[in-house]
Parts: sequence; C-alpha cells; structure tokens
Amino acid sequence: MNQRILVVEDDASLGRQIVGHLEGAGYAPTWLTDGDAAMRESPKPYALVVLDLMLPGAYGLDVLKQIRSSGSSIPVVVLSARNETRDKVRALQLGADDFVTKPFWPEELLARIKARLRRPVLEQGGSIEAGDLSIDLAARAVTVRGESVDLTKVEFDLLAALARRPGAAIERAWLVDHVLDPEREGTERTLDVHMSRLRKKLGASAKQVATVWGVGYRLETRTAS
Amino acid sequence: MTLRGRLALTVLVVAMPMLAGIAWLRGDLARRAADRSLREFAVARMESGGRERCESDPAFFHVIAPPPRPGAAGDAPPPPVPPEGPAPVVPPVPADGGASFDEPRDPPPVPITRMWAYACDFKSRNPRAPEIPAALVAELQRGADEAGAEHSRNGLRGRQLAVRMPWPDGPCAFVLVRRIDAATPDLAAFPVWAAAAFVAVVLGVVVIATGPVVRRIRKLTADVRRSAKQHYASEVEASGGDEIAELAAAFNDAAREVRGQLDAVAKREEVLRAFVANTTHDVMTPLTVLQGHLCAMRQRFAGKPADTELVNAAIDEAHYLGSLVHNLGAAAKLDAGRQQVQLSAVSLDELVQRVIERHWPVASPRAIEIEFAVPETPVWIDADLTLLEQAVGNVVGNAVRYNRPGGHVAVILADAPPTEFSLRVVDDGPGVPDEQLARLTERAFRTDDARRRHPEGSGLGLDIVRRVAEFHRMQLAFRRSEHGGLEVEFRGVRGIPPA
Repeated sequence: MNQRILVVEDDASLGRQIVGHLEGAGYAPTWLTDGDAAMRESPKPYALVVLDLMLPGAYGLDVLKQIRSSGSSIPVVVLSARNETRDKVRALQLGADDFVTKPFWPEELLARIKARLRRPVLEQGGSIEAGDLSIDLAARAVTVRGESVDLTKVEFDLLAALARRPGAAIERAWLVDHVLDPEREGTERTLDVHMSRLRKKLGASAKQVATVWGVGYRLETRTAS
Repeated sequence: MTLRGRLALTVLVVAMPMLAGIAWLRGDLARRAADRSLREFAVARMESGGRERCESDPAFFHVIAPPPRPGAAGDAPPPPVPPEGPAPVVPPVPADGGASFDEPRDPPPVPITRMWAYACDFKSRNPRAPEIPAALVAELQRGADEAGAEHSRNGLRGRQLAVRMPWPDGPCAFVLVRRIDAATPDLAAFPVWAAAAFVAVVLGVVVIATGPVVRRIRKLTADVRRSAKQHYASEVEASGGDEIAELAAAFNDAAREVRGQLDAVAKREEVLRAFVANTTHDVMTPLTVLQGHLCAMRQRFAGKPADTELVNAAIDEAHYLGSLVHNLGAAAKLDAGRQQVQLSAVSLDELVQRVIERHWPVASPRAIEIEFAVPETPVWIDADLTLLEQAVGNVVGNAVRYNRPGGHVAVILADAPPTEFSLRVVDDGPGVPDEQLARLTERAFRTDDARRRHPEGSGLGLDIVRRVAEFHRMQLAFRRSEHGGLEVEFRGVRGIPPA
C-alpha cells in the first residue's frame, strides 16, 4: 500500500526533488505549488502533509489552520526556510507535528516523515514491528517471522524497554536501574549476559537489538540500513 | 536638603538681620527723639534766664523739672523753688532728703528731667553735680555740639545728653541733661517674643505656601521616573501655566525626541532582521536543492571511489555552508538582544532527533555512527527553539566533522534529578589537548588543529554554543570523554511540558 503524501512547495526544483525522493521511498506524493490550491485541497485521502511556510497565495500557516479547523489530525511536517523561532513556534501551536529547517537532506526529510507515520502505531500501544521481529507489549508476546519466541520475564522486559523508545538508544545504566532486579543482578555485566541470551533466542532478528557505542542498546527500526 | 528646608533656612537667614536692623533703627529713632527733647529742654531753660542764674551762682546751679506736658514743647514754666533744697528748682515730688537728692532711689511716679552746668574744662562749679561721662566729654572735645548716652539709675532707664551752649566760655559753657522716664521704652532691647512670633509666622507661611509646589514637584518626579521605565512611552501631566508645568512640558518634548530615536532604531533593526530572514530564505531553498542533487550524485557514483570522495567533499561543504548561514542568523539574533529571542516549551527529545537526522547524511558516508539516547519521560525546557537547536547542532557537527572515519558520536539526553537535565555529546575523535580544554569556554577561541584543517571556519559555531548556553542559563562543560575524544555537556533546569 502506497501512502499518499501531500506536498505543498512553491519552489519548482525543490518540489520536484521532494516528490522524487518520496516516490523513491515508496510513497505516492501529490504536489501543489500555491497556498490557495492547498486551501481548497481536502487532507482526507492523505497520510501526511509536507507544508512549506512561504507560499504564494495563502500563507503556509493559514493552510495549516484550515487543515486543523476542518477537524483533521493528519500529521503535518512544516518546512521552514527563514529559520525563525516565531514561525516554528506558531506552526507547532497551530498543530504542526514537526518541522524541518532548510537546507535539509533528502534522507533527513524522509526520516522525519517516517517517524511521523510510525507514531500512530506506537500510540495505539499494541505491537511494535522491527524488521521480522514483532513485539506485542500488551500480550507480552514476541514473534520472529510469525514464529513465537519464548522469553524469560527479564528478557521480555529488556526488549519491551527498548521497544518503548524505538530508534533511540537506552543507556546501560538506566536498564540496570529500571529493568533488572537490583537485589539480585544489578550490574552491567549481568545486563550484557541477559542481552546476549535474548539475541540468541531472537535468532534471525538478533541484529534488531543493536549494541550502541557510548550508550547501551537500541531496538533497530531503521529498515533502510 | 529639601526644597522646603532650604526655603525655611533662607527665610531665617534673611529675616534675622532684617529684624536686627529694624530693632536698631527703632532704637536709634527713639534715641534721636529723646536727645532732641533733652536739647530743646536745655537750650530753652538756659536761654530763658538759666544762663544768668548759672553764671551768677554756679556752685548751686541745678534744674529739676517735671516732664514737658503736651503742648508745652518741653518748656515748662519755672517750677516752684524748693523750700529747703539748695537748688533753685524744687521737684514736684516729695524729696526723700539728703544724700541722693539728685538721683532719687525710688522710681519717680512721673519722668523727671535734671540739668547741671559745666565750664569749658567739663568741670561743674556745683560740687553735687555728677561728672560728664568720659565718652561724652571725648565727643564734645572732638567738636560735637552735643553727645548723648544711655543713662540708668536704680534699675530705671533713661537718657543723658551733654550740650554745648551757644556761648563759648563761663561756668555754664556746657550742660548735662538727664531724664529718667518710666514711660520710655527699653531703647535698645527688641521684644524677643515678637521677633520669634514673626519668624514662626513667616516659616508657617513658607511651609504652607510651598506645600502644593513640593507636592507637584514630587508628582512630576514620579511621573518622569515611570515614563523613563516605559521607554518614554507615556507623557507626564503638564497642566497649569507655571514653571513646573513648563518643566513637565520640556520633559515631554525631550521624551518625544528620545522616543523618536528609539523608534527609528527599532525600525532599522526590524528592517535589518527582515532582510536577514528573507536572505536566509532565498539562500536556503536553493541550498536544499543543491544538497538534493549532491545526494543523487552520491547514489549514482556509488562504487566509484574517486567520484564518491569528490561528492562527499561537496556534501560536507554544502552542509557547512547551511550551518554557517544559520550561525550568522543566530549571531545576529543574539546580538539584537532579548526581544529577538522567543522562548517556548521545547521538547529536547525531538530536538535531539532532529539534530541527529540532520547530521546523519554527512556522517554515514564516512562510516561515522551517530547514536542518541533519550530518557523514559520526555524532557521539556523553556528555550528559543532555533537557537538551542543551532547550538546542539554545532556541537554534534563538530563531533562529526573532526572525527576519523569509522568513529562514533553519541548524544545522550538524561534526567539529572531532581530538577535538571543533562545533554551530553560524546565522541571518540582526536579530542582536545588538556591545556586547551579549559580555553574552549572562552570566546572566539579555536584549537590550532581545527584552524589548520578547516581554515575557512571562523570559530563562530563554538561561539554560538557558548552564547546560547549562557543565554539559557545552562552550564556548559568541555571534558575528555571516556572514549578518548571530547565530551560536551549542557546542563540546565527542566521546564514544564505544554498542556
């Protein structure tokens, strides 16, 4: 399923580039070049809006206001060229979900978009997907390629702790303090032992639990890498 | 000294000599009147037979007379001769006899005038006559026609006058006239209570009269202070037509002038700021496009090492250029001061992720890993979104830029209980020599190594880091990381998440 993304960008070269990158990443972009057209466009069929703030016709913030006043909660990523705090704060207040300051890298924009599209799944609190790995937090169930994996309580708690902050590394010290039982096994050494066992059980998905230099561990969700 | 105190003092300083002058003048006039009366008495008596009597019997010459009655012009008819006294004139009062005959001990019920005659040597032939006081003699010797002085006897005050007669010689060339007058006021003394009352009344008038003036001046002062506090936005009240109103009007004129200048400066700054913002916009969109092209080229050249290296170098420069323009904007904003900075609730978690994602495309081609950690509960702080992101971005950018291929950078956001947060940027790059670590927090300093490798850099990035940390009251620390590279820590107070 190709998610549709509405791109509102007046600069022809940049608009063409963004559309190209979105298509390359498997999205189905629709590109509008002026604010008035964006005001008339319904956000309903789209999964996300990429909105430049400086547009001919209606100002980007007016488009944002229009989207939010129509009752839509579609994720909106704002492109800010002037790098003015005033613009960004106003956009966030009006209901923008994120902003990207120009000049940005295509990968940077894609990462922001992916993060925003991923969020609703997380907020539903159900299961988290990382590659072939699927973690159901509510049912405390883990599957790899559909096969159920039997984990101990500590192993599941460690995996769940990583899964609750996908993409971010978790400090070893934090895991020791908050997940391990401090009475019995509260050292970084035992943490590494548990992690090693967890990886072994995950088999093909072991690489999804990454050791992070300088920090600790992370659940790998960046499927591109 | 207050205005009122000054006025009161001035009044005292002016009034005291004035009162003294009036007292002296009053006494002088009284003395002159008394002397004139005594002289007229003497001349009239001597010319109407006195001289003859004196010259015929100088040893007994002595005149005692009641005061001149009104209309008599001091020239009383010859009094009756006392029956037993040696003097030809008998006082109208009962004599108390003998020794003090010429100077009665008891106060006479009515003023009495007495007169004795003296020769040219100022000696009287009458042995009972008093001596002319030396001061009066001296004055007459200097050629004066008359010489007067105070005279008192038995606690009663009066006047005495030595008069030169129109004839030059004989035993009666001079006479001394004395008058004790109970009705004569104390000629020299001034009624002190009256003076005190006068001064008190004048002071009271000063205080009452200056009351409204002082009140208005105080109000004007308060108004001026308030206006100054509001950058002269409000005018002070300038009612009335006096000097205070004029002063208020003058202040309003000056305030208008200042306000005009301030407005002009603000307008210039606003124009400049808009210019910078618009220029930034005009630069950033093409720069984004350029970066897009560079990424496309990198994909196309993948596998051809020489070309890839070239494209990566171009990517580095484009990245640096974008960051430089933003640093210039941040510097302008910091220079402009507080009104250009906008604080709001900022999610540090999201800020860290944005910074990571911005630098990842530059780090990944050089096999530099950028990692980040955020705490369980998101950290919100009150900050200027753009400035803080620029500052953190500069630190991460440096950690990537000065790292070796295959190196690591970790951005670790953590709670620092009870109320603080800690944001650490750790790398395993070449680090900074110990002796230069301390100097990193100083302004406009860059290590020599950085200058050599990136001579185009101006140290602006690190300067922004320091100034932004200072502005947000964050502690900024540079230390050697446990992995051999540099560790930069921002430490500050957590804020409240937006509702």
